[in-house]
Amino acid sequence: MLYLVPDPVTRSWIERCNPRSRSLHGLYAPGKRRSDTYAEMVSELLEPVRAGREVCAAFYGHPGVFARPGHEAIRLARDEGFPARMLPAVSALDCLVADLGLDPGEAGLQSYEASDFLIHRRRPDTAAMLVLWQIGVIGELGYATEPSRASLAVLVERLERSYPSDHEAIVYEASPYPLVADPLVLRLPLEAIPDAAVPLLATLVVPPARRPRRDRATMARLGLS
Amino acid sequence: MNGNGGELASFLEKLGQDRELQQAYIDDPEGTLRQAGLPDDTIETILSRDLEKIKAVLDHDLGGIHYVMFMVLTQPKL
Repeated sequence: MLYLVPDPVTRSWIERCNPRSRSLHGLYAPGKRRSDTYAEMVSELLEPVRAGREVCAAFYGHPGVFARPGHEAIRLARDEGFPARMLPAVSALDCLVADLGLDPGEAGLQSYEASDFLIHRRRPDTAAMLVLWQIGVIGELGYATEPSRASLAVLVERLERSYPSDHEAIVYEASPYPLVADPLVLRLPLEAIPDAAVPLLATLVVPPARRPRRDRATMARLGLS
Repeated sequence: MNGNGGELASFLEKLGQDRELQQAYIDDPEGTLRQAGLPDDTIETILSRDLEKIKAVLDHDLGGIHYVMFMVLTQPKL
C-alpha cells in the first residue's frame, strides 16, 4: 500500500488499516522538479507490480484528477500486461460544487491548471464558470512552501483583461474534515487576490460575468424559437 | 496551541468511521468532544470550525507532514 495524503488523520487511518503502508511524500524535495518526483512515484508503484505483488495506491482527492502519477502508473502497468484499475473518488471540484452551491450545468464550466492557463493564453468564456487549480503554485515546477504574490499578480492581470477588476471571485480549499471544519472560502474582488491569504493548495473560482448570448438562427433550426 | 494534535487526530479518525459518534457529534458537538476527553483549548479550536486552526493543532503535535508543496500532483505542460 503506497499513499500520498496531506492530512495526518488519513495517514494514520491508512497505516492502521495496513501497517505495511508507505507514504510517497519523501520523494518531494526542495530544488527537485516535480516531474522527477512523479517519475519516481510511478517507479515506486510499478516495481512491486513487476515483482508479482498486488499494489494499492491511494492519493488524496480523486486519484486521477490533477494527479499525474496515478494515470501514468496505470498506463505503464497495462502496457506491461498487468491488470490495473483506478477507482473514482471525490475531487476538489466535487467539493466546491457542493460547498459553494455552484452547478456546472447552469452556466458551463471551464477548468484549467493555473500556470497552464497563463502559459497557453487560454481565453476564458466569461459567460461560464472558470475554475483555476493550483493558484498557490503558479510558475513553480519544483517545491514551494507558500504562494508567490508576484505570480498571483500575473494571474490577476491576465484575468482583468476579460473580467472587471472588482468582479467577485472565490478562493477555495476543501475541508478534509467536513463534519468538524468548514472549507476555506474567501470571496473577494479579483484585484484583491494577490494580497489575500491564499493557501498553497487553493483553487480559484471565477463566476460568470455576463449572460451567454443566444444564437437565434441555431435556436430556430432546433425548433427552440 | 496546546500540542494535543495526537488526541485530536485519534478523535477525528474515529469520527470518520463511527456512525454513532458522528450522530452524537451532530447532535451535541461540545458534549461529544468533552466525552472524548479533549482539553478545553482543543475543544474551543474545533468548535470554531476554522480549518486552518484545526490543521495547526494537528500539525503542532504530529509534525512531519505539513500542507506543503509535496501534495501537488500535477504540473503544467510547457
